[in-house]
Parts: sequence; C-alpha cells; structure tokens
Amino acid sequence: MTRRVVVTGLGAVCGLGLDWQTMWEGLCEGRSAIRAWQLPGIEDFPVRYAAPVDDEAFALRHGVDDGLDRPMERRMRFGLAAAGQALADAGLDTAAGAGRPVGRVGTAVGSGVPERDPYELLAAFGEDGRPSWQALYARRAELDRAGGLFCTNDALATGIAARHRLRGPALNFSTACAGATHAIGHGFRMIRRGEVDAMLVGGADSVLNLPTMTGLHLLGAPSTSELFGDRLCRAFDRDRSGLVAAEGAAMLVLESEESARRRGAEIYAEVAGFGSSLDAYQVTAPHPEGKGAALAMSRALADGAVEPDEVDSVNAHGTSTPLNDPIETRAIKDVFAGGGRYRKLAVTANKTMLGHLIAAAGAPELIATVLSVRDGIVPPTLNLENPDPACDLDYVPDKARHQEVSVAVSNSFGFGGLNASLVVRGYEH
Amino acid sequence: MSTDIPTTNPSDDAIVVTGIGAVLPTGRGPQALWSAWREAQPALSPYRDPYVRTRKITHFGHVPDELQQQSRESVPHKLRKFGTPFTFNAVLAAQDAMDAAGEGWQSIPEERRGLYVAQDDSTELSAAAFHKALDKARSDPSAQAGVDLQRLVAEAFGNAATFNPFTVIRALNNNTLALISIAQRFRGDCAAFVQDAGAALGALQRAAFTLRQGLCDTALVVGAGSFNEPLKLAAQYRAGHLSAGGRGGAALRSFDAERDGTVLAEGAVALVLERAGDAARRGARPLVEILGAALRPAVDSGIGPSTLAEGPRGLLAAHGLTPDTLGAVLADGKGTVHHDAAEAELLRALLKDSGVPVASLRPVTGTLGAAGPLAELALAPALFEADELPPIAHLRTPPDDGTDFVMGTPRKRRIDSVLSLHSTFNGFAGAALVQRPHTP
Repeated sequence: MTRRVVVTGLGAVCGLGLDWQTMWEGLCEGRSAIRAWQLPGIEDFPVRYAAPVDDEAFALRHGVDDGLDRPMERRMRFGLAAAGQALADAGLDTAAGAGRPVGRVGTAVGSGVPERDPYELLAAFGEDGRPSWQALYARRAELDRAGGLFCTNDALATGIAARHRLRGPALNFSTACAGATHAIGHGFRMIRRGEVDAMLVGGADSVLNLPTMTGLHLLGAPSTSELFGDRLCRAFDRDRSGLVAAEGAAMLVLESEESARRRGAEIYAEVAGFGSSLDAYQVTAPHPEGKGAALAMSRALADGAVEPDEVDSVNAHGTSTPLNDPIETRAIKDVFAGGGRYRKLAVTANKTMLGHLIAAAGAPELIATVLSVRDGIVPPTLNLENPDPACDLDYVPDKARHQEVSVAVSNSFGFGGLNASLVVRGYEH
Repeated sequence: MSTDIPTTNPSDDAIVVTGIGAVLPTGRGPQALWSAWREAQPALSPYRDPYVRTRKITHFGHVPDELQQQSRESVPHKLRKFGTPFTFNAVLAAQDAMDAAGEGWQSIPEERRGLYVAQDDSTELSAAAFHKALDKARSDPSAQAGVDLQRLVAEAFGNAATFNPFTVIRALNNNTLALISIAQRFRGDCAAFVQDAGAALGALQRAAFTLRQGLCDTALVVGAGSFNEPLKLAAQYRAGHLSAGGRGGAALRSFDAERDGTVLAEGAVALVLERAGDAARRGARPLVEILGAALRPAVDSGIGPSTLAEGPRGLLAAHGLTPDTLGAVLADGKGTVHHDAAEAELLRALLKDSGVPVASLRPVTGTLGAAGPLAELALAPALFEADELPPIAHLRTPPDDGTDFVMGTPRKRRIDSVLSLHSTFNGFAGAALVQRPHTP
C-alpha cells in the first residue's frame, strides 16, 4: 500500500515566537532571534550569542493550566507545547480528558543530549573528590527529579504520547542535527506504507546549558566572533565563523491524504519524498565533495518521483560554519546540475534567523518549507554581505521573495556524517 | 500498534538474518551466549568501576576486560577518540556479523548498505570525565568550591587540556552509528534510536521496511549500550529497580516470587539482514527469518495487559500464527517486582492456556538495554537447531497463573517460531517475531 502523505498540523516554539504563525511571520519579515546571550552566572563564556526562547513570554502564554510549569527539561517543555499546538491545529487534540484516544496516530521525534546540571554532577562527588554513590544518595533531596540525571533520552516521545494519548507506534530518533528530519522522514514512510493513519513528527532540543555548550565550544562548532554583533550567523558569507546555537521545538502532523480528506482537515502541503545517507568519511567533517549530502537529496527526489528541474527552492542546512556551506553548495549544484537548474533555485538558510536548534533544527525548517510552498514566499538568508566565492547560488539575501514554489527540498546534516532530505510539494487533489 | 506487512511463505522478499555478532557479558559471539543460557551460568559479576565506590550497587553484567580490549582494537586508531567502550563493542559486533555473513557480502555497494542503530543513553558526560576535569580545576587556588561553584565548573569544563574536546561527540546518541558507518563503510539509508530496549525494535522495524521497499540491499541492525554510568545507576537504584544483590551472580530472578530487582548490564549485538532472494543468490545461509516487530508507548493510564497484548497478538495474526502454534516465547523478565508482575499479566492475557513455553535470558545476561532484543534474536538459530528451550535460571516459584514458565531443565519441543517481548524503564512495550527460515 502506498499512500500520499499531507501536512495537516503545525506547532513551533522558538526564539522567533511561541507559535508557528509568529515564527513564519518573523521569517518572512527577516527578523532574527539571535541576540546577546550568556550562561547564567558566567560572564566571560566565549560564546556570546544565541537564539533562546523567551521564558517569560512562554510562562505567560502557558500559565499553570497547561502543566508546562512543572520541573522538566527545557526541550521537553518546548516539545510538549509544540506538540499540543500541532495536534490542535490538525484538530486531533486528545490531551487527557479532552477526547477519546486516537488509535492510529504515532509519534516520531528527534532530540539531542540530556540537559545535565553541573550541580547534579557535583553532587556525585565525595569529600575526597572522587565520585561516590553514598555522597549522591545523601544529597538526593537536592537533585531535580526532572533533570538530566533522571531523564532518559527517550522521555520526549514518551511524554508526548502520554500527554496526548497517542497509542500508535512511538519512535525516538537520535541522529544529531539530522534528528528531527530523520524522525519526520521515517514517520512519512510509516504513513505512506499504511502502518498508521497519522504521525506527530518533529523535534525538540536545548543546548543552552554549560555542559553541552562547553562541549560544542571545545569542538569549535559555535562562533565566538564579536565582529558582527547579533548578525553573527552568516550562512554562505565569506565571514561566517560558526553556528549560533538556539533552542526550541517544532512539530508537524503528517497524515494520509485519505484520512485528512475524510476529516475535512486543512492541508498545508504534501510531503512527497525522503532520502537519507551516510558520509562514511569523518566524524566531525562532511565529505569534502558533499557526496553524502547529494545522495540524500537525490534519494529524496527519486522517492517522491520528482525531477530536479521541478524543484524551485531548497531550504538549506546552512549552518554558517566554514565547512558546511560550500560543501552543501557543491552538493546542490551536483544534484541540480541538469540544465543548470541550480541557477534557478531559491536557496534559503533559516538558521540566520532561527539559530541552530541542533537535533530539532529540521523541524522548524520543514515548517518554513511547507509554508513557502503554501504561500509562495521564500524567506531570506540574512547577513549575506560578502558572499563566499565557493558559495555561488541564489541565497535570497536579506529580503523574503514572493515567488511560486511548487516543489521544495529541505536539508539536514549531522555530526558523524548523517544526511537527510525531505521533498515538499503543493497539495493538489 | 505497528506491525510489518506479512510476507507470504518462502519468498525472495522475506527478510532473513545472515550474520550475527555479539559482544556481551557472556563473551564474544552467539555461541557463548547460547552456552551460558543453556547451562544457566549467569554472567553477572561484582560491580567494578575505577572511579566509583558503592555498596548499594553490588552486581553488573560487565563485558569481560579482555573482550573489551578486543573491541577497542577493532576500532581504527583515528576513530577511538570519538568513541566510548560501549560503542567499541558495537563496532566489533558489527564486524563479526559482517564476517559471519560471508565474503559475498562485501560486494554490496557501500551506497546500498543501510545502517540502523539502537543505542542506550550515552555514558558521557561521565562522572569520571567530570571528576578528572574538576580535580584539575580544583588545583587552581583561585577557585574555591562552594564559593563560586559555577565558576569552578566552567573552568573545569572549558579547558580542553583537562576535558576531552570530543566529549560532545561521545555524548551524542548517534555515536555508534557514526563509528560503524566510517569503520565498516556504510553509506546507505540510516537511522539511530534511543529508547532503551525499544530502540532495537524500532531499528529492526525500519531496517526490514527499507529492505522490503528496495531502498537498500543489506541492512545492519546494531544494538549497543551500557548502564555503567554512576548517575544513571543511582537513578535506577532510586527508582527501586535494582536487586540488593544478596544472591551474588544469581541475583536476577525473573518471575520468581523472591525476585527483588534487576541487574543492569552492557553489551552489543549486530545482525546482518538481507532479502532472502539476495542471500540465496550469493550463497549465504539464512539463519533466522524476521517476521516483524512492534513498539508502542505503554504509559497511558488507560492501557492494561489486554491492550498491550494486542500488539504481539496482531503480529502473530499477521503471519498466520497463534499462541497455540508458536514455538517459544522469550519474555523480558527484568526481575523487578513491578515489571515482572505486569509482564506476567501480559503473558497471561496473550497466551491464555495455549501451553507455549516461556523462558527468559535476563538472569544470565542482566538487563542489556538497547542490545537486549537483538540478543534474543541472536539465539533463535540455536533454538531452531537444538529444538529445545533452556529454563529460566534460578526460577523456583513462578506465578501460578497458567503460564508455562520453563524451570529446571530445558524443554524439548519443535521450535519453528519465537516471539520475544520487551518493556522499557521509560514506558514502551514491544515485541519481535521470527521464524525458522525456509531453505531451498
């Protein structure tokens, strides 16, 4: 059984806003969520900019009624909020007590590493400075039960399924920065093959804590430059110097066309294809010729029976790192070489406005891709002031472009050489 | 509940296992696992860790030191800084599985090799790494613990000389996927899952899907992990999951009235999957046919044993099987009071009075996490060959509810199909169904 898969629900929580409408408005207006930022209590941490979620606004919006004020990891809080939005948007909201359980709706989400609190780590040390279980046990009252110590990495999938009574299959992906895109892609396959009627898919992540940010910093991933202020994320620009970390979540409801039409649901767009690949090259660097990235895009197009010359836009991974951007450019040129199609592509890097949501990154970018197709708007790539000669595509600099987008591709690549691409096209019955 | 579409009898499209690798507390390879199980020899040993002292956690399923060293040596030198001991186990298990799949396997193009990994929660940032960094920072007289704790931690973390700069890579849960893809040349479709034992079922399900859809020509499914991280162990202890350890290596007593908790463990298992037709064409021997896997959340308060039984029951029905015609059931049997009680209810609801025998591997291996379901599948060829089901080690007083738990001596019977059941600490329940492969 092969079925068409459509998007019927959207939800987002990110630095640009606390719902998908605000996020999309911000992207179209070229607003950036990146701002001066520091780790609480550390004034000279070398990473100075990030795209955090506005905690105060989040608390005001959700209050205490949603139960999102309980102690929990930040990624869980954002993920639950985005999931609730997406299900409500699709007319499938089944939060406890709100309706009957939905039988054939599954969950597939991507998330990163647990948010470990240094104080919890410290609690495990005895007076002699060695890890001691006795010391930890003695201080157990000081530990946050919702913190990383007690959170397994699959808590997001479990939490969403439990809160919304989703009784279909639940999968928790962990493929670094391609995590959400892998989750969405495999959810898409499950619907297309008839395993389920609908899937809640997406990702949630927050790396804005000391252990993870330090780990990323030691790896050289985030930019520490202060030359451009909050215009630091400069995808495809000659002066790009690293990613700008962000936090948040985005979720989509994918549904079989048959189910969506039967329910009379609003259909935003169709997910037509998914492709993934491995570089098998290096852990911390992409293949220099972009072979893995090109393979993922080619597979996604073939999966959707889409010819490269049908594609109008690419939502690039576009991390603003020295390695990714020219290599992704090369991969796009390889895949869309026929007839010089790459010259006609509108390529956009949402991370210049959203920052890099790491494991969740592919989800808000897919939402932007879906809305691009629906509304005929390609959001801009900000801060592209000195284009890198090795990055010579049309990146839609500075201002959003109104143009018809029939088919678009969304890319996500991750540490370890993981590549994933999705193909979206306008829905026509 | 998701189930795989039935494959009608002997078919080129049936998904078969042609190679198995295992790095477990019982040793290297499926034969060592089978021997330990058959002889009811637990591989659970006193807990040891160079950085941790504890009297609360007494036993653990450690991979033997010499085998751990073999695992390390199986990883190319340039990749070792990115991995952890348990990802090294995964690389060795993968290599062994590929070797077992035969020489012809190597001719499959790299782009057509799919890789599906189930990994436990990372053991990084480990308390050991943190200790090392903190110790170094404390030697700096300008920083004083308790006065400026956050500062002290920042200095400890921010210093590449004391803190492994690849920590974040080692902490990523796709670490195993990355290392195996690079070490063993996999460039095809992929996925990595983290959800305790459920991750292996997800990986198995997606691997079978991609093979059936022709998206790859071989799929390596790997489950790997370790619970040996002090903070994780402490969390499990606090949750009341761990045995007090009064019975030494026999501490884990699945389904026994005197059970008092599980014993956590570590290890890796890898399976090479292919379409039966492809395997036959290259002369590979099919060891097991994968019929399907199912995984669902079980945290909803409205879900009871009869609801949970729908998944495995659907899996059986999709393949024309019933509990009466099933060869054997391998239960999870973690040994905790609550998990086993819930599983016994599920078994009762699922099997009723079918008479199918139920066994468990857990008293021998401990609770393996992501590798657990694949360990059961790794034993299926031995079950088919021996036509006997080993007993549940140390089981003296099983639940008196009609379920046929195998005790004392192996049960001789024809075994053509095996259903394995799994639950996770975080609220997932699942099953896998395999059968004796059809041979030409």
